[in-house]
Amino acid sequence: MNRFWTWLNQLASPPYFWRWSQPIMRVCLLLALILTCVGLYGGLVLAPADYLQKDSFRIIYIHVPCAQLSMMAFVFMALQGAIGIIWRIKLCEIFAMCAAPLGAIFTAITLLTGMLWGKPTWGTYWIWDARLTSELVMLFLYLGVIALYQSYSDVRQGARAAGILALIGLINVPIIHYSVQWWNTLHQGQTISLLGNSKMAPSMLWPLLTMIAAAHFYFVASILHRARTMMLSHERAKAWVQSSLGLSATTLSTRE
Amino acid sequence: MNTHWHFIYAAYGIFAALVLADWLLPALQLSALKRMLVQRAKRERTAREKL
Repeated sequence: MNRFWTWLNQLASPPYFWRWSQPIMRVCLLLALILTCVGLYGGLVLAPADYLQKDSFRIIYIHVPCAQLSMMAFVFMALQGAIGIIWRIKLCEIFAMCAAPLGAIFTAITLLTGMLWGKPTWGTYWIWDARLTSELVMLFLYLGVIALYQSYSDVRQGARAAGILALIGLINVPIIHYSVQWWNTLHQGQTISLLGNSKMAPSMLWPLLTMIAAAHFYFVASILHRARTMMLSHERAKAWVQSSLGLSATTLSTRE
Repeated sequence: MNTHWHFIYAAYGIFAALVLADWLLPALQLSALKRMLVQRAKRERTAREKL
């Protein structure tokens, strides 16, 4: 057990993270790109139009993966924030604070694509429905976390304060997920299920599952990408940054 | 082509723009940071050589 903790701590140390994160980030980004191309081709070209919603249902291929990612990013942010608060692991604080802008962007995409899907389907861009409102609350929570983090001059203190807000805001995630069951909403119920049967035809389902997989790979790639940037920014005065970027005197002279 | 495609184009356009921004902004920040660190290291080395 001790060896496991030592290994985990070593992985979380900034110089190690800088080394191991790059290949994983590249592989995840590549997989995300390939799966996005396959999923979009399946969803926009191969899948037939819906009998009721016609072609407008094709927005599902970006709307659902982004909605899942927006909730997953919040859970990830709260979890990393909690680890950061309890064990004071710098990398976890960085991960938590990188998940906030990423989650905010994906929540914004979810809301905007949902509005554009709502107009031809419901006849309105927006309605104060439980699912839509709780998703909007999540966007505000993300913005609150970002604002709280930015308001501190000490980044580590800011990350811990924002981590507490993320933990409080976590209550909103099950509300979003179960809102279509708990309340009578205009938003449709759950279409796909990991454990039960999905309500979609297989020809429409596989591109959606492909896009969801792509979104998960993109999430990992983007978190690592942002974390590398933030890590370098925080640690720029450290010796490992100089050696990792090849900033020693001999390397600099060969560059000229 | 029915009018639904206008909404689909708009949705996919917003998606592409925001995902691209999500990736490119940290990438630009990282490259600017690296450039700044290289410049600073060069300046420090020049100052050391003058001494």
